[in-house]
Amino acid sequence: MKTKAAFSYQFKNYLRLFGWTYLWAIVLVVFLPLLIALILGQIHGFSVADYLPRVLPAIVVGSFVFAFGGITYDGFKLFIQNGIGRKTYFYSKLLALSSILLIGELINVVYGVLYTHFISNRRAAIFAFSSLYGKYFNSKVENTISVIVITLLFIVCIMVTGMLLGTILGLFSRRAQMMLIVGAPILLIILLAVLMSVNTQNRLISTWLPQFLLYIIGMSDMSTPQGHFIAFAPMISGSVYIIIVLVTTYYLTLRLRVPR
Amino acid sequence: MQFNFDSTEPLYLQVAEQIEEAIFLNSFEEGAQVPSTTEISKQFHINPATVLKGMNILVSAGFLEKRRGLGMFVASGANGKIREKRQQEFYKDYILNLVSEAQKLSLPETAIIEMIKRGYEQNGLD
Amino acid sequence: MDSIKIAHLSKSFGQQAVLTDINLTIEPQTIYGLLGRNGAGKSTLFNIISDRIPATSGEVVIEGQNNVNNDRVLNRIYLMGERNLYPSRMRVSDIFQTTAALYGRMDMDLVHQLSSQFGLNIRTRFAKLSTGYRSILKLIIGLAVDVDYVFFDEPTLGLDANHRELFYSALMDSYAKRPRTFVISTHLIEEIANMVERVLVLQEHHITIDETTEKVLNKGYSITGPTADVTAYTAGLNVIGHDQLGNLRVDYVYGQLNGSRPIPDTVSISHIDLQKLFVNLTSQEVATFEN
Repeated sequence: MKTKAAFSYQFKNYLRLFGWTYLWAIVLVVFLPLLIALILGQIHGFSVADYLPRVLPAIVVGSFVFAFGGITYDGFKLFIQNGIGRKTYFYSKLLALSSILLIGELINVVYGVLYTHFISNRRAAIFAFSSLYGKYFNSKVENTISVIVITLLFIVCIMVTGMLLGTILGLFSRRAQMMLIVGAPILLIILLAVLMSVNTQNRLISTWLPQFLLYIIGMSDMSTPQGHFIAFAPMISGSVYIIIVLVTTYYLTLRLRVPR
Repeated sequence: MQFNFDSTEPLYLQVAEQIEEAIFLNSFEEGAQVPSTTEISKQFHINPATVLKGMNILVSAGFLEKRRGLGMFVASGANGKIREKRQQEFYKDYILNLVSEAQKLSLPETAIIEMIKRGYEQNGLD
Repeated sequence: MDSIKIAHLSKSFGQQAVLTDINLTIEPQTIYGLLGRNGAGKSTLFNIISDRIPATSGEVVIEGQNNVNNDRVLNRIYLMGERNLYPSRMRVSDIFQTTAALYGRMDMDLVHQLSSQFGLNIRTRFAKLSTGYRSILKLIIGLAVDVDYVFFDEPTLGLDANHRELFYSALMDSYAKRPRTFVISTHLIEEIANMVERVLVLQEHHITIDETTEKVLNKGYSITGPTADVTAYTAGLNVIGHDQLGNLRVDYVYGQLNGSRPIPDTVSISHIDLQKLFVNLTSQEVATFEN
């Protein structure tokens, strides 16, 4: 296996791209509004908290792992041209992207702490899940750790979803890809509409579907108070989702070919 | 050196002949190094194994000698040996062909001898 | 160093069979010419050997191991294919760096020497390169990367005569310095004829010839003379084609001549070159399709 060389190549590449993504995000989200405010002469109405969004690091890392997780075929082409098989491609990509995810999350946590201390006492994005699970355990340390784990799992879910979608697209020709990209959402909407109409006619779906969803996010029943949701539920359901999606992606990766 | 690739002769023999010709015409003098397999291969786009095969014919004929780690050199006395070899082959290569063609054209022996004399005169007697 | 063994390899796209029961051993340190008409399946064979596409059945064993998703052996081969698999935005210099990083080793001195000889600007992005320079880029990698088997699929596509000469010289030089296997598929047969040690002919989904160039050339004859004499002489021989000019006929034979049969005075026999041989061997293909 050439995993080491492959990983090192992927990681360096992702790290460079991650830097660029951050730069663009800062330019778009921070400097542009600031510049517009300056031009319009409304700078006095601005507070630091206004133009420094607390969700920025979370959005950057989430969209990065989704987008670059989804770019599959180009990476596969380059690797197979360089004598590296599909398995190694899959593992090295997963490893490299996960490393970026961890780095991104670390930035997110540090940013969140600094943000809460110095800029605004509103909770930063890293602690978004604490409103749901933040009071499940009795100790503050346990609660903080569980919220961080849930957040991490959530972003990993986003990443593997990106990888799965990208791999599915990688199996099809450009034309079929376009049809999928356009067709899939339309199909989904139709499916939802059908479900809704079925739902109004008989209450079959309302019996188990919402129940299932509640179970997944850790509400034992509708009356569970916020912050006291079962923290283990999203951890387990998230892990199960990640494993299923990764295994599916792995086997689809083995089917990649060039020319398609 | 040049190679006539349309020739129906195997390529390694052509390589041997061309080098032999160059030695005979003193383009490669006795004791001098001949171009390496790689050089010939690179310049004429011939597989190095083919070139080597051609050279080895000349080595076993005693026209070239291998010097370990240095390369191929024209053996001493190579020129004379080539001359000798060609003299021996002259009858088979030229005379037999000449006679068979003459017979096809119904030219008598005396006419041929006459022609040979004329050829010598034209070329300047030696 | 071991060989590449291809056993019972078949490939079809849907209903269309491209390769049928191919059995072939590619030896180390040998230069091969893979000859075949357009659409004969040369690229498909290359793509399966380098695991770009799966075989329908059969297998490719490289140095004792199956090639599918096997980095250890895939890393010992480089395919310069007709497809461009490098990212279009990548600069030539980055492509060289990437190849060196992923293959592990590449002769960077040779890369720079050849780049300057061919006039390839390494700052250019891949998408901006002409067809010829895309070929040149891949040729340079093929000659410089540290592998045991290099597959060149139409290596001279878009190259002018000077650049082709340069490539052949670089190939011979590189091969002499570090002997390894090159399998070259090209339509410019005469240009590579003196470099290849073995000839492979891919025809009607099969490998029909797998022999040393010397033997192949030895078996190819043209028999020229008056039609009646020529046809009488070649009766029962493996005649692969003919030319007719008035009463003058040339029969092309592949295989043994009949040693006991007297050669008429009016008939002359000579050997033919590889291109002529190939053209005659494979022109039948069209004929069978038409019938």
